[in-house]
Amino acid sequence: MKPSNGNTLFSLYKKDLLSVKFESLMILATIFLGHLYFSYKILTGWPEPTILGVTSTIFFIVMFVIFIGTFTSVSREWSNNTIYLVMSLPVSGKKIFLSKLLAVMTQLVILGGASILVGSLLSSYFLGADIIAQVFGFFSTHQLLKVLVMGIILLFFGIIQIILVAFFSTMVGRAFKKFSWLITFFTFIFTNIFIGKINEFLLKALIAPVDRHLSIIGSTNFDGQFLVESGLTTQFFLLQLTIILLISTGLFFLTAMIYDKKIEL
Amino acid sequence: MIELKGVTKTFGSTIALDNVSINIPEGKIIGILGPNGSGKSTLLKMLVGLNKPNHGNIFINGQQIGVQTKSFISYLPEIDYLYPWMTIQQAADFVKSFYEDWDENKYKELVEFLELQPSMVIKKVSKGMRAKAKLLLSFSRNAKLILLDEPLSGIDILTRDKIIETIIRDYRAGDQSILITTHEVREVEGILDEVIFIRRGQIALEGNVEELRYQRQASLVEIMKEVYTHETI
Repeated sequence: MKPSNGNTLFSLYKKDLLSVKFESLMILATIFLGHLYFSYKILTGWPEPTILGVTSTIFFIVMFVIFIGTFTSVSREWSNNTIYLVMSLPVSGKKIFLSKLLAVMTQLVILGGASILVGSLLSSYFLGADIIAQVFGFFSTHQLLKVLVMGIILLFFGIIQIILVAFFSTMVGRAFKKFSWLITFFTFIFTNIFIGKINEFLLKALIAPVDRHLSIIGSTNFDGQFLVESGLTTQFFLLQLTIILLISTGLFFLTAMIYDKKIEL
Repeated sequence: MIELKGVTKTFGSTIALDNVSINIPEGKIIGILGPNGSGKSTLLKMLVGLNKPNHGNIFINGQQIGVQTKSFISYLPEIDYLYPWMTIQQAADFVKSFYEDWDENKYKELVEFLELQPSMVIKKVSKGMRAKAKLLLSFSRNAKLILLDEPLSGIDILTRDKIIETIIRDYRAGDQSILITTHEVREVEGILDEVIFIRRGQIALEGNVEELRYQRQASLVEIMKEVYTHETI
């Protein structure tokens, strides 16, 4: 029976996910142990609001470690010589990188989710569930929930874009026999700068100046209540999302093309 | 089946293959022989798409190298290329999901024949066992074209015999082609139908093994010595 596209993609995805099983378990353990350690510190004297700083710091460290893992998920194939197996398989670069992207995203969702969950539970414990409810209520009351959702969606696709830049840079680096890591590093930096310029240019060209920026403006009204209005318009959101998706798609196909046409062993 | 037309491959200033044109017939066991650095492995890598020619074209069954040709090629490189954290069973499950020609019965028979355990973790077994595991994955398929790059390199004499037995065990003459690169000529001499000697990236000599032996009244080892000792044949 001819292997289906879904089966081959799932096999690659499963392999990519299993190859980071040990690292993922280590990160998961670090999340729990890190939170446990700082909880102990708070219980023995540190101010309780510190938990917010601790949970956010752990979350960003986890994200950073996974992001660095993006580079190694590709380069590991070379260091283990498994690239000989991967390149001899009857699959295109598109499938190879789609499986790697899905594996990294799975890691981000599971480990990021675990970090947020543990952080939220501990924050509720130390600060009281009322504060969390108040914050949520604040967002709902001031119609910031929509802004928050749009921001999260942009962040999600922004992360996909940055992962694809990492894949692209690694492939450009691997296309050269010498100074591969140096080329990867500079390609990553310059690609991000280039994407930033394209993004800025398109936003300037396509959006009216008044709607241009993501801004949350705070002021006090006559009742003394905090009033928040958002500058993240739906138009801005849709345009930004379209730009991210277009650039990501371009990067994805470019990366797959470099893999198919330029990579040699 | 395999056609190379004016293929040149360079790595910097080193010429690995120099304007090679050759037709490799279908359904035979063909030895690609030569000393280290003569271009044997590069030739196999190009057939499976791991290297691209600087000039010239390669066709397999009339098709250019790509996803389609890879689907009927079974490639066994000299180095350990399997995921070290996988068990033999996991590696087999991974490989079989890509190929239509995977033969589960053949796989089970070969596991027994090669005295392997599917639960063995690849990084934890000896070099000989890893060589057998690679062979198991290559020969559990009914691939039209099998490329073996130095399958006997660094392997003890008993395992070598087992590897050669595996190569000829299920070989389907006329239907399947096997290309073996090696400089261990003595071990493979008995199984080769055709031979191609490569010297400094060029074809030094090619032909039917029996005919060459008859014409030169010499063994393949002696012919090889002759080819690589003198500049002209």
